[in-house]
Amino acid sequence: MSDFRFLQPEGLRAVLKAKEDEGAKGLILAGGTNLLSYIKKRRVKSGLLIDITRLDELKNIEEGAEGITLGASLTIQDLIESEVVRRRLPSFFEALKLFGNPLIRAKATLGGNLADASPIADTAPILLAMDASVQVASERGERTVELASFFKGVGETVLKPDEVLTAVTVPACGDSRVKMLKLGLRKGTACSVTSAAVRIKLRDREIEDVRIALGGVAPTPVRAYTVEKALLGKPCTGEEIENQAQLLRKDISPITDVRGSAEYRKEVSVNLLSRALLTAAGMEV
Amino acid sequence: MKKIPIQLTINGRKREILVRPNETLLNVLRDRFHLTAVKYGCGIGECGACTVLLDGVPVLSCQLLAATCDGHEVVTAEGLAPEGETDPMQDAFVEEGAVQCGFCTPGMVISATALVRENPDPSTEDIKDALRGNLCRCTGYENIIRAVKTGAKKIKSRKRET
Repeated sequence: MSDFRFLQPEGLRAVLKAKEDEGAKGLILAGGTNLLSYIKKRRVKSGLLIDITRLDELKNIEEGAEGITLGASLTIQDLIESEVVRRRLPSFFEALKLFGNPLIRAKATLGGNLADASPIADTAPILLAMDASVQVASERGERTVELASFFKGVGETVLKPDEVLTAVTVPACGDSRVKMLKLGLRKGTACSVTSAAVRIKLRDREIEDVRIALGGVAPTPVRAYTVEKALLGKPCTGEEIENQAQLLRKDISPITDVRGSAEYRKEVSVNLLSRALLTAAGMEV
Repeated sequence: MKKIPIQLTINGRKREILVRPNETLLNVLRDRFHLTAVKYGCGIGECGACTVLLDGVPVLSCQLLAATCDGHEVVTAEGLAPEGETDPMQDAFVEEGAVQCGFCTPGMVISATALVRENPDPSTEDIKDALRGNLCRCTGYENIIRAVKTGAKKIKSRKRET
């Protein structure tokens, strides 16, 4: 038998109090696009449903010196419609259009997409490539966690049972160029087979700085540190990019599932990464 | 489980009901109000058969708890036109043969209606994008896309008349 209770807190303070009391039994309900599926599939059978959808304090968009801070319960559609996101984070804006479908985007939230910790979370690779961090709060206080160290495993993050993800900070990308590509089995509503996001900074046709993140090829969204290191200081040519992208095999550990085999994912993610790097660097693909 | 009192405006009528904490909007609409145009398809947000308008925005009613909808307005395919009548988008689906088994149709019509309200003259690409979350397993979408265009024209000309 399932056994749920429901709470619609007035403010963040009441949310944190509920999480303090309930711990892992306190289920944060934002868009619900994942949580409702878990309830339906009986992966989650009981707990206190804490509805945060009405908390305006988790829907702020702030332009700060360090970057743009986005409230955790902004929906994907809120972000797509935001003038600030479109102007300050144009590559993120483009990547958001690859997310789910309009029905999902109307409800799914930024915080939920990350806190759910799916290996194929559509916002994760691009936010990893952009060096984003998340703000976390509990009754004990607040802390900032680099997104690169946030994910622990499938459905697992560094969040403690009493903690709530409240916001995501995305550094402005300056003169770096950012690109995310997603490969699904079809165009509409497709879970990723794999996805690749890159941020690249060039100086005199050399790669001065680069960030690479992949989705769908490991238990969590991952940074491709080996490839990043190999590309640093290299001339930005098609040949160099295609050669170094081969090293991606060292950074990933894909599995075989309904959407593709491990072998296919290894091959295709190398190609997807090359294409993302070439596109970001402004080269013909 | 302790039930929660909520108020919903469903197809223009105010309703006050008690819901279980884990009761979906989909089940409330079908089981309590017999609004069976709202289809129970996959139940996990993948097929779009349960699409309704929530404050004018198309959403998946299987992915929403009724309790979170307290105070909001819901429109189902039944509510697009007065009882016993059809609205122009529904007529267009019939005329263009965009209905085969019919299971996806109410969700398609809801998504199409929301699209045309925002974008009265949608292109094929606009329609494909707006209907990305609504799956059809019979018609192959060609007739559906044509129906949305025809529906958009009907709605436009009706607006001109009034």
